[in-house]
This record gives sequence, C-alpha cells and structure tokens, in this order.
Amino acid sequence: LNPTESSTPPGTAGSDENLQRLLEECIFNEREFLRRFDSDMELIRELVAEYKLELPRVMGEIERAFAAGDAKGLEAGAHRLKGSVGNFAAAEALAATAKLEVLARSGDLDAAGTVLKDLRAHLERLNSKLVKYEGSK
Amino acid sequence: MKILIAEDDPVSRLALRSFLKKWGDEVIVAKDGEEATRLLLHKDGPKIAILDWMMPGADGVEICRRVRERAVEPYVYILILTSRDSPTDIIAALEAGADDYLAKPFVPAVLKARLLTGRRIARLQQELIEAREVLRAEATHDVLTGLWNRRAILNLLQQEISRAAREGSSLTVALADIDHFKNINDTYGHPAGDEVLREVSRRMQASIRTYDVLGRYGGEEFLLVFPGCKQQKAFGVAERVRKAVSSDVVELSGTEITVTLSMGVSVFNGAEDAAAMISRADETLYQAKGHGRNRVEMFAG
Repeated sequence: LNPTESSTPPGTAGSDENLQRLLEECIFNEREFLRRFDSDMELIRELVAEYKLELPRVMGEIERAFAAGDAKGLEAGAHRLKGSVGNFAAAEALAATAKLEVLARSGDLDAAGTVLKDLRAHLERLNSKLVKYEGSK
Repeated sequence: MKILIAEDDPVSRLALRSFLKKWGDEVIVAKDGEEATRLLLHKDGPKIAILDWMMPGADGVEICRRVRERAVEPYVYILILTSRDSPTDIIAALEAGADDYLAKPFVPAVLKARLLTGRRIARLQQELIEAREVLRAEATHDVLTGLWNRRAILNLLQQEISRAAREGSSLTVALADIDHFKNINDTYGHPAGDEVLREVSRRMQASIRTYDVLGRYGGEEFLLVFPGCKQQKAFGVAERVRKAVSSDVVELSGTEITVTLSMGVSVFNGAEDAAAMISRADETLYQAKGHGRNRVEMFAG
C-alpha cells in the first residue's frame, strides 16, 4: 500500500465538504436555481407553490398508470413531471423522470418500477430543500 | 408583442408567463395543442408562439404543420421548447415549420436572446404586409379622389355581372359626368378643378348605398354600380347622387363654384358584358347632356 493513501493529507476535510456540496447540488442546486430566476423571490415562491399543487396531481397519474400497466400514461406523466422538476435545478430528480419516461416509452415496466421508487426518494429530498421557499408572499 | 405560450406543465407555464410579462410582452396561454392551434389561426392571433413539443391534443410539431398549411398571415414565428434534442427530432421540428427550438428546461436569458430573432422577423413581416397593402391600395384606387380606379371599377362591375347572370338578380350601372368641367379648369385653374373632383367624389360616395360601388372612370367621368337594383330604384339612387352634387356650391378659398352632374343609367339585360353595359350608359349620358345637362336619363332599350 502506498503509505500516503492511509494518512490524512492536508485539505481532505475541505474535499469532503466539496464532495458533500456537489452531492447536495445534485439534489437541488440552489445557486443555479436562484440565478435562473434572477433571485425574484416573488416568482420563486409562486413557482414552488404551483409545483406543490402540481406534484400530487402528476404523481397520482404516474402511480395510477404504473399500477394499471399503462405505459403510455406513465410516459406522459413522467414527461410532464420532467418539465416541472426541470425548473428547480434538481439533477437527480430530473434524471429519474427522464429515465422513467424512456423506460415507459420502451414498455419496460419492471425497470420503470425501480426508477419510480428512486424518483419518490429524490422528490422527497428535493421537496425538503424547497420548504424554505414556501409560505406567504 | 403578443406571444402565445402552449405548455401543459403548469410550473413551466408560470415561469414562461412571468418572464415574458417582465420583458413587456402580452401573454396568451394555451393549455393544450387544440387551443393553441385555434388561437394561432385567428386573424388577430399572436405572431410569436412558444410551443411545448409534447402536449395533449396536438403536439408542438403538429401545430406548426397546421399553421404552415393554412399559410396564416402575418407570419407566425414558432419556437419549439423541447427536451428532445436528437438531430432527427430537431430536423423533424424544423421541417414541420418551426423557426427555432430551445432545450428544456429553458434558461430565461437564452430564451430572451432567441426571442430577439422572433421579434425581428415578426416586425419585418408586418412592415412588408403594410407596404404591400399600400401598393395594393395604390394599384386599385385613384390617387386624387381615393375612389376605385378605372381598372378596379371595371373588375368590380364584371364580378357583379357574373353574379347577376348566375343568380338572375338585377344590376344597374350609371355613368356620370361633371357638366362643363373644362370651364371650371379654364376659369379657376387645375388645382381648383382637382378640388372640385375631390368634393364631387365625396358627395357621390356619401349619397350611395353601402353596397353600391363608385369609381373614377376617366377625367371627370364616374362609374356607379348598383347591385340588386331594378330600373326605378336605380333611377332614384342616381337622382339622389345628382342632387347631392348640385344642391350646394363648392367653396374654394372664398369662390363659390356651381357643379352639376349628368348621368346615363343602363340596366343589365341578362346577357352582356361590362363594355356593352357601359356603352349603353354612355349613349344615355350623351342624351342627358343633349337634354340640357344636370339630369339623369334611363336607357330606353
């Protein structure tokens, strides 16, 4: 073993922080999100509110389509959710919706089931990040 | 500028609408492809459209196809928003008639820049149409009086003849001539003569029915077309026109000029062309002149 690999090189703590930050940004890249909407807090709050209204509707459609084995409905729901999520600089959730859409289009509902499970988790993480933008205007 | 957004995702729709409003645009929103198509095909519809590719009803590409098939005017500049960015998809969108495409999720600053092109093209198109309409008006209207010119009034008469022949309806024409117009020009000068022509045109136009047609046929000659008008009725309208012209003097910088009209009227016989109808009206006009001017004569055929 290279002895340097087991020791703690200077700056490791910083690298961990960087890695942590990058991982967090995969859930929700707040800087990118704010830049995209010119830090217009009124608009941002409206967008989050609209998303919160839309999410249960579209997730309901997705869940129902999946349960019914309706690949076309699943694809349409995933596509619409992808559009919504795309506004929030949320790479993980966005990638999951894109995967779900592609799998639904190909009719692979087994694989779609796995991705749907991931998607639920990604959305939960994203939603917890968006809480601070909820509330009265 | 009026811009249509067609986007089924409410979050993206809200984001698009907010930015466009912030940039000073009037925003019209369609929630699906059918509504978007209907709005874009409307005469006063938006001239720039931002369409989501995938939507319920007609998708963005299908809307492009429909709008281009109908050759809507003025031109609608169409920008497709899409997360499909394969070369095949891009080609399909452009071939269907889209002008540009933008990847989703859209970056507002990029959208703003892309819309510069759309606005420029929409404006150029509007200017072209306005210029063409001016040329069209100049090609069909008499510059001095604003009435239909000789070619246009003859075309309109021929159309009315075809319609009367097809439907078996009545049609009458009247040829009117300003009496002693040469004297007006000689006495008061050509600018005064021009002003008399303009005033006579205004009075004639004001005294005919909305569906009658009036054009300047020659120097001081006018042709009137009375669709659906039988002999007696036509005589009545012609008399009204004559009186409208002669009832008041024309005032030009303190000078009062008396102007009168002589008119010859002929009724469509069911099987003749414009030249024949006008020729009979001209014969009758000649008789009106012979009988003392300032009068309407009917062709006694």
